[in-house]
Amino acid sequence: MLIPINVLKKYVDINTDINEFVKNFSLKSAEVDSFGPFCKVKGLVIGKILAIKDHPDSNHLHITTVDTGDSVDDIVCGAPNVEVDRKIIVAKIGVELPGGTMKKAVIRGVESCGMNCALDELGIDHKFQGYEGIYYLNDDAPIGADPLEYMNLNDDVLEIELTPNRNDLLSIIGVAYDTKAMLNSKMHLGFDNAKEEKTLADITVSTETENCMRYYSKVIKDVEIKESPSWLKGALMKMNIRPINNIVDITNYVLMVTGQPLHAFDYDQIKSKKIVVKMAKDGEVFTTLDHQDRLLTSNDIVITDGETSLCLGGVMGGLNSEVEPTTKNIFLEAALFNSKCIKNTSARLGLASESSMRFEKGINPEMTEYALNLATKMFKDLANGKVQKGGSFFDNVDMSTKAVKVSLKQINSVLGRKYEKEEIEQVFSGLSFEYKVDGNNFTVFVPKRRPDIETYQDLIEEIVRINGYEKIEASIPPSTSSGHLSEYQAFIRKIRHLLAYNMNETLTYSLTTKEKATYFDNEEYGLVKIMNPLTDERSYMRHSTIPSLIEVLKFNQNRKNMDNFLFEIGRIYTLDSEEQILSGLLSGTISSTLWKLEKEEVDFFYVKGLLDSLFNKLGVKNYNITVPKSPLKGLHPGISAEILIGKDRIGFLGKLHPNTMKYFDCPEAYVFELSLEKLFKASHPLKTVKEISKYPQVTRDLALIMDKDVTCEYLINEVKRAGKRTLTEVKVFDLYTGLNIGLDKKQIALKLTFQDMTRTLETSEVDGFIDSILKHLASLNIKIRE
Amino acid sequence: MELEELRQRIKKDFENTKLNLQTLSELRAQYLGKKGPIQEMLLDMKNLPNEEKPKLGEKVNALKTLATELFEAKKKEIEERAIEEQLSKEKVDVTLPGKEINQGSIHVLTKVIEEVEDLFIGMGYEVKDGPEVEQDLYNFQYLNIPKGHPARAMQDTFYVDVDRLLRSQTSAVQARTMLEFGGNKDVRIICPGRAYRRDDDDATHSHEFTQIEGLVVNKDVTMAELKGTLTIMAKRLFGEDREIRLRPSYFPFTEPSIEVDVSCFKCHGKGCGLCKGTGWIEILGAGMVNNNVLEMCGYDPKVYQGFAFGVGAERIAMLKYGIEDIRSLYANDLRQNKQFK
Repeated sequence: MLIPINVLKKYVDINTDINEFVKNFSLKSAEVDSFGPFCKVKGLVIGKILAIKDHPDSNHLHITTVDTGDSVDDIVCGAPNVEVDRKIIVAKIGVELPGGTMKKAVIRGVESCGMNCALDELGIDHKFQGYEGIYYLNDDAPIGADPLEYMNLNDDVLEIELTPNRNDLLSIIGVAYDTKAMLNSKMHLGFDNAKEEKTLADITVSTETENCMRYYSKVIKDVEIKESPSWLKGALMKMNIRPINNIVDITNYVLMVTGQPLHAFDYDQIKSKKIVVKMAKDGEVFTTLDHQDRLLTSNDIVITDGETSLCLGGVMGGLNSEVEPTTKNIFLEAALFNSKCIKNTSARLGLASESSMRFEKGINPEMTEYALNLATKMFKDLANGKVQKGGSFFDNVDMSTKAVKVSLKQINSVLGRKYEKEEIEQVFSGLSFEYKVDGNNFTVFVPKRRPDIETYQDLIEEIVRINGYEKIEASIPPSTSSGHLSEYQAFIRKIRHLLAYNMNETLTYSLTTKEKATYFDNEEYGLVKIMNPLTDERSYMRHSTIPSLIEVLKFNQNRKNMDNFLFEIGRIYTLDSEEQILSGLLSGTISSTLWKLEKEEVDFFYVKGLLDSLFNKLGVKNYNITVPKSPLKGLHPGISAEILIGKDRIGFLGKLHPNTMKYFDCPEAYVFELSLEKLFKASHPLKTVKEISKYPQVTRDLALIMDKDVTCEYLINEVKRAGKRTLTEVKVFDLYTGLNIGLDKKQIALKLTFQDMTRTLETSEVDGFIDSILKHLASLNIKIRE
Repeated sequence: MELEELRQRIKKDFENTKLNLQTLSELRAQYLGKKGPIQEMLLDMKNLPNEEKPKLGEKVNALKTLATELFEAKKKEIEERAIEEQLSKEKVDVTLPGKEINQGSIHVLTKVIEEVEDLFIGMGYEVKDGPEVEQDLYNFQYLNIPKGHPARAMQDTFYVDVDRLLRSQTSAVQARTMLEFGGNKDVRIICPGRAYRRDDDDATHSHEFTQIEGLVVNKDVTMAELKGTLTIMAKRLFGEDREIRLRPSYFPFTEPSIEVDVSCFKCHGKGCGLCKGTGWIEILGAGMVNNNVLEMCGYDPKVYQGFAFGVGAERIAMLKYGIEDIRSLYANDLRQNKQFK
């Protein structure tokens, strides 16, 4: 909403510094988007073209002789529309224009002492001028005076952003009410109605639909349609409305001032002398004044002459009753329509206007007659119209006010400040609310312009904003409970900070494409699809964060960040559930001492070891990283594993499949993904320490040869199975393959540790343990190397 | 005299600078061994008259002590010299670069979230979260935004079906928590989490973003306490000398509703580019919980009142660290991410 200060000042006194007022406005009324002069140019002057000569050296330039009061100068002008005797805006030498400072210039051999201006050269939108060339002022413009003052463009404009509850601020008068309350000043709403002729307004109005609740009308005859006076044109430009002619401009101006849309019909086109408001017929075709044929439905309100539709009620007039330059007599409408109907019609036909927008949001019913009378008076004053006596109307609006109660106790207990009764009363009277006081209880009769006020909480908001939020003194709610993270939340944080030692946390979007959302899925599930996505790129909720991590890898490699050790704690989604997961992507060199030619590149076992040590730190036991039961989609079939707790899969890790690398166009990388909730359930915080044996441990190394496809997991499990209670640890310390043991074989070297809690083990005992282990392994075709 | 001569020889031999551990121990065997001169003298003593025995014994013992001391001193000297030699051989250029280990980092948004969580945990809050694919009921209806309410236009929302959507605000968690608490338990929660709006991404808009909401419900919480709580947050996040100011605003779930500005930490209120010349920067929205919300979520508004606030983690991160483009928070350029330790 644009509020020109000169227009606002007509309706309310601003008895303070204007900058202070603007600051106050943002603190007490609505957010200020901008404030400043409509036109920043200074030192312009009104001139008159006395003579025009052709430029001797150009076929389109002219030399204009311009009288600016103090002097008569020659100005070279390239505008196609130069006319002698017309009043213009002159920028003389030294004037700062948006395009630069005006300098004396010699244009093709002719000296030019300034510029005859078009509005856009002053930084004013070209649409307000509406034609090419220099801008012509009305003939009454005084030569030598300031054109911005003459045009009513010399003031500041306040632009405010409205919240959906404050549609009352969609009019200058609405803003004036808040202004009055915050400045404790006076409003000026009164005016004398236009004197009426003796002849009666002879058009009757009626409705066949409840969707028109009120309709007031006037008939004004013998209007002179012409340009509006400069003050009116200026006022409209500042409110971003293009001046057309006095009739259109008056209805627009009154709309902006009162918030009540008006519509002017060509009286002579209403041949039946009656107006009937109805719902359109389904399939009816109606030509709006923008020459478009509109297909109507029975949900659209139309204003008819009984038979023919003349206007799409509240949305747009019809071509058949449009006010044209030749129009003599006007039928003027001020009506209230059902906001839902207007919203539907406007949305369906893509027709939104200042009027339809206000009807949608709700209009202050106190202003209907006021707006009609103000416009009528302006038709008389600015178009010499003859106002016909009376005017037909119907009115089904309930104007009774609603009473809302609030007590001083409620106010103080919500706001935490002790208000004086006088402060409360000052707010209510400032806002022009009628109210009653009974002890410390107030009953407020809320005016119709403020439908947002329904409860005592709404009244408390009025009190605190107008009285001032700065008067509330800060205090802190006394703490009655000890806050803490839940065990799960603390678990997540621990993971984040452990990994952040040498990995980089990322956050990526959850919305993605269908292909990426499901790329790593092995099974079907209820994919979350967005009904109204903005783009295909963001149309499904992801079911893995790995594609996002791959995107991050690519983004960084394109920027020469070659080593990527990424992890993300994020969610994946199905229609039935959301799961918080930990995922990671590792690619490149994890550590290096280059001058020692040492470099540690990521491989499968780095990632596995990373997870082992993470699980160890988290107290996760009894997990198993093993060969997947079926190949994991998107991963290298020979370099990928699933992570199990018991039989439950909690995640996976592995190298990207070459096809995955091709699909994403990304380099080699290792990835992992884990369910955090399952991991949390498998974690066991230490309760009591494990006893440490006082007796020495004995270690034995075994080099074992077996078939190549026997897994290490199998081997160790079998060793443990054959080992006794005293076998406390089995570690792999070598892997060997080579011709000398046979190409289908491999050799794994194990270090076995034996220890007893109660005594020192004898060598012969340990020999016995080893024998029985070897015997068991031999039965499985696993032999010790001779 | 023989004794004196031996003394001189012992001194001379043990002070020889060319001795090493091997020759030194040979020397000890030579003088202090069973067949050495000192031992011999002690053995010879039994042939002496009794009255001379103590005198000579004293002298021989002194010689023995001397030889032992000289041996120990020399041994220590040789060992120390050996360590010195080893140390000087092992010396490295400590100014050579250390092992380069990938520099880890946490994301700036989680850094902000953890900072805010910790602040509020210290004030007795619990941390709560809920689903992101949320029911219209919790995201809107329980928050006093029925279908068709004009405030829905303020938040263009992604829908999954008629009743389900991607939550447009973490306020949905507030409704869930109040219902969970059952209308007779004080609420003091902070809800960080991801939310979604149907906005085209640009430098200041992101279709996914991180909201941190707070909610306090009890029998006597006030706007003044809201102001105090938010002042503490502003000071913690943006510096101890920050102030806040409240302006009227509108949210369907709070009444009165406010926008909160913090005094500009760049120009200290004088007016600069960051605060667009006003000296104040908008950081969050807040208000007293609307009675309709309390009632729908099971709290009797005649007994209970509440305050709520919501702040964007992205906005805090961008303001605090001078990040200009919100999209950079989700692009994860490691050169930016690694700056947050």
